[in-house]
Amino acid sequence: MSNHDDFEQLERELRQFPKNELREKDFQEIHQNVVEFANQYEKLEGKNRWMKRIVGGIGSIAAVLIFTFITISLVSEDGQTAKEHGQNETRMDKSGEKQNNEDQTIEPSMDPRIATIKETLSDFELPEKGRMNPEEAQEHIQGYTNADDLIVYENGFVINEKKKRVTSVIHFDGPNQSPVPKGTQALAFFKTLVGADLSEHAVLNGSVSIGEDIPEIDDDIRRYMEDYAKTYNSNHNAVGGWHDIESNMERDLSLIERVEKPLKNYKVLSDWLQEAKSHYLKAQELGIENWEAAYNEYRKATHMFNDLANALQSNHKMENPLIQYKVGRTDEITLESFVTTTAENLQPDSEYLSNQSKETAIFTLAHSTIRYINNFHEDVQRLGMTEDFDEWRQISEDIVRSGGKGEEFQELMKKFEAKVKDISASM
Amino acid sequence: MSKSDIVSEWFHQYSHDVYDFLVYYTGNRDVEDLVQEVFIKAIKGLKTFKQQSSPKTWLFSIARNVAIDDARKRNRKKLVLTSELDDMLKVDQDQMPENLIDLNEKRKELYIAIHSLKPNYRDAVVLRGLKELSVAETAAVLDWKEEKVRTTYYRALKALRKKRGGVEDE
Repeated sequence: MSNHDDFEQLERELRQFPKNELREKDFQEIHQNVVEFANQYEKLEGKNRWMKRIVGGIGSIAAVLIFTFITISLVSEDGQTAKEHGQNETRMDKSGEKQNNEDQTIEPSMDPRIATIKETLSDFELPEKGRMNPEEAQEHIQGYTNADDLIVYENGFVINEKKKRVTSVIHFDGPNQSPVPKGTQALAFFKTLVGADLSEHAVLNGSVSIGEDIPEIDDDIRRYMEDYAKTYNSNHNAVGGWHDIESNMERDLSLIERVEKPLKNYKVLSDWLQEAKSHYLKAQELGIENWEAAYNEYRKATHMFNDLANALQSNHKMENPLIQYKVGRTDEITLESFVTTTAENLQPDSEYLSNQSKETAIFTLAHSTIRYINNFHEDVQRLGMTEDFDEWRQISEDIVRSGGKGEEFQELMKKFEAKVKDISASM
Repeated sequence: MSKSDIVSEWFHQYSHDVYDFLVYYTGNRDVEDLVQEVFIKAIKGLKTFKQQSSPKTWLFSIARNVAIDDARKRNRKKLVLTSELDDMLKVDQDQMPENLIDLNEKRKELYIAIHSLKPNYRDAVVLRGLKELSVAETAAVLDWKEEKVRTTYYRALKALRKKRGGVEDE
């Protein structure tokens, strides 16, 4: 038997070890203890917070005085100190992992609730029941390039088994009869909606924001809405304004309605969804008469969906996800340092590449390019390199869309490397 | 969203997994107290939980530390040399207690072989082999680089094969 076969046999044996589960009685008892402890701990923390505020209030006065004294001393002794210190803060290290003494991580620590939902939406098995047999399924997915990855269910859901996302929904009972997802189909469906319809939001000016927070109310919006409100009842066919937002909310609420029941088994997810829904309902209730408050409620719901969509976006099946590539806060990174660090990370002997495969590294760097490149818009314009950076962003977007796999990805990797090298040399 | 809601959800999702891991990691089925301790520690440390780790791998890393601490406590009396720390979680064939996991002869032999491995090999085999965590997940639990997980797991399998009288290392 070869080494390889031998290891495979060994791994098979390991996987066949029985799974142990807590006895039901123990499960209930420990669960109760844990929940009780959490409640008590939270109360205790609440008390401590108040104590800290009181102590902090007194302490902060002293701290301000000491800080003022030290700052004056430093500046008077060496006028350049602060500037040099600032430069150090903006530097990213080669590995892209550690920045400086302070926590400069741009990827904010994820809300535990979002982390749990992300886990729920990633770590599940699709139902075995209700799958069409391969011959029958083939009739519905002919022409799909990824047909081998697709499962066709009798209720009409076509789900990509690898990505656990819905590829298509077949309306077997007529166009007006939307199928209802069953079991974990709902997770796949919801995950798909979050990455599509539920992160596309109507904006008051008639445009659509995709995955980004809609603007806060400012003087322009206020002026627009004051005019709009005067003619609200007579301009139902107008583009933009509150009508668009009302339609958007109706659509989202009807989508939520399709999944909320089967998602009730997932408490954190279900509660989160109900919270998002409550913002929409509140916005509807407030209506055009209280449009500012209503808009803010709408904004809260859309922000929740964006948050989740962003968390799920980095949820590729790569072994080294985006979150492992950290860069400093955007307002402290210069365009030059961003480009230089990316180029350095791509050097064959870089520490960054030594920690992971090239595929994973480029996939991750593409993610961060999309995420941060727009912050340097003005600098790029000033350098007259808009076209180059647009191309870089486009390649990065294509890489992320490819999911980090396949021939296209291999081609894109080469383009990415070449473009980074090119831009870095031109700066 | 309160701490109890979050931990309750995690408990429903991962307590059996944590229990299973602790059973294989310690070789003992009576690890209910340790499961509880894992979740209590999770509550206390919830603020430090970040995206860098999924709830599952975070709980596994807590569970591993809890198991090691527990072994330390149990072995404190007989602890003479620091190097004995490495041996605390070994399961001795001659001292198989009644509450040890119930396995058939073949699996018992393999299981004892796993526990006779050096600690980092044992970690890699329990997490990758028995618990079927991915390389990235194992790396997150052990706070290792992924390359280290791959190498250590490969070497551990080689060592395991050797212990079972398989093909000799080249």
